Amino acid sequence: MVAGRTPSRLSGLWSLSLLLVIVALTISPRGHLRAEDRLTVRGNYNRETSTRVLQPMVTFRKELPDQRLALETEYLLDVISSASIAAGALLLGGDRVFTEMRHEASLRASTQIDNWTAGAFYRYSTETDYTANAFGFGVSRDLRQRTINLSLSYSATLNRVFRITNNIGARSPWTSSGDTNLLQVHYLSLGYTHVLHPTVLAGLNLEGAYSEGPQDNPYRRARNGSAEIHPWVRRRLAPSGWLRITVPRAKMTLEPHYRFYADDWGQLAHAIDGRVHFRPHRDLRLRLRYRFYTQSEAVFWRDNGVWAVDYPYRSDDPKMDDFRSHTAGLQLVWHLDGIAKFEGLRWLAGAWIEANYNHAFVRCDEPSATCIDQDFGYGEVRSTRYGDNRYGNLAFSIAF
Amino acid sequence: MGIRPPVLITLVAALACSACVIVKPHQRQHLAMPEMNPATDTLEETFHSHIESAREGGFGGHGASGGGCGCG
Repeated sequence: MVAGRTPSRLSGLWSLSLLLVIVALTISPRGHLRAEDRLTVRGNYNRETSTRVLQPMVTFRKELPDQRLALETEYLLDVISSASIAAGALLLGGDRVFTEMRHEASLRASTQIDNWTAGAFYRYSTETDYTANAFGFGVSRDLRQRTINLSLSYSATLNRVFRITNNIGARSPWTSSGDTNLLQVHYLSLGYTHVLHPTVLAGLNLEGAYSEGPQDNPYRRARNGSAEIHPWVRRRLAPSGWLRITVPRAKMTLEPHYRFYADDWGQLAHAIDGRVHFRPHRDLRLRLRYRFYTQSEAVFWRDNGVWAVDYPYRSDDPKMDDFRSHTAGLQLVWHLDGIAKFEGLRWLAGAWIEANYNHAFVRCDEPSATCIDQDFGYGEVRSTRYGDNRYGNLAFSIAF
Repeated sequence: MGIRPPVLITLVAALACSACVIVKPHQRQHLAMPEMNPATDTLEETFHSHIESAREGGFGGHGASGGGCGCG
């Protein structure tokens, strides 16, 4: 176990060092930087019944000297505060609020030459009981006078899953029903974008993922007291389509999305996401959003928590149950070019501020260990154990 | 009788592929607006993908592969 941790730590230090070196090399006095370079600071937020996530992140993009070569580096911190009502709380030190942190560093490079665009990335993520190394690449090509774009991307994530075994943080590899704690995920995406009209853009995507390794929660127990065991392999497919239609006279843009999902665990899902953009002022963008999501339960899910003795799988994961959700959202983006014309504020040219808020109402029908009657402040409703949740962000981006 | 999702997607794809109109560069001022550019929302879509992967059985539709933690 110790031998397994050392390379991860070295890899993490290497990633962070590389990140700092790139930032140091690319930041120079403002007068020498080009208008395409950008620094974005973002604070994401997610709150639900028992968990609160704060996620500050900073992204820096540098073009060398233009879009023929662009480097982007990112650091993200996940601060997860959880009232430990989940199974396993006793193991982690009793029923109390605990805080966990996840660090993530990413490096991306992209190039755009003529009608071709290519990019690659590396990402390292670490927390107390989980490490992940991800890498990927993508290529796209514009066709027919840039009216059509075809894209292909692939990424692989190599995760190491651990289980904390006592309240001072000792951990052991979690192998579930297999013989390794390596969870590998291979992801492939095909994209097609088409300009149908001077005011209409359409896109189709086909995404697939293959996961192999432990995919259950090391701490969670099924209602019969057995450890949660999910299948070792999962194959997933998600075709989707979208449109962006602008109505210049109304200063409005419509953005409907639809995504279908199916996997070999027996889950089917539909997601409809509709967005409407308004321009009440030249520098102000307002976006309203509504998303409907519904999914069926996995073949190994049991509402009553009873499995045959020789059945290989057990689950207490609300994601495996059937439920639906309605999400309403509001986004405001203020472009600061309007005030950048004033003396002393010219450095704000190209800068923007963004605020985003979403409220998800999650509902289920058949009572189970994960589908229970709860009160979120607007009367009793039947929702999953995760319950209704809110998420959003504040962001500030500046161009150099 | 409703249209099944795979049929609907194939139908939309066929319609899209059959659109042979070339939109000239000088006709693209509306397409250049941030509202019409999917790349504008990359960071937000990545965040949504991360949230959804931790709370939903499905995945995809964000043009990103999501995060890398076992926070389920």
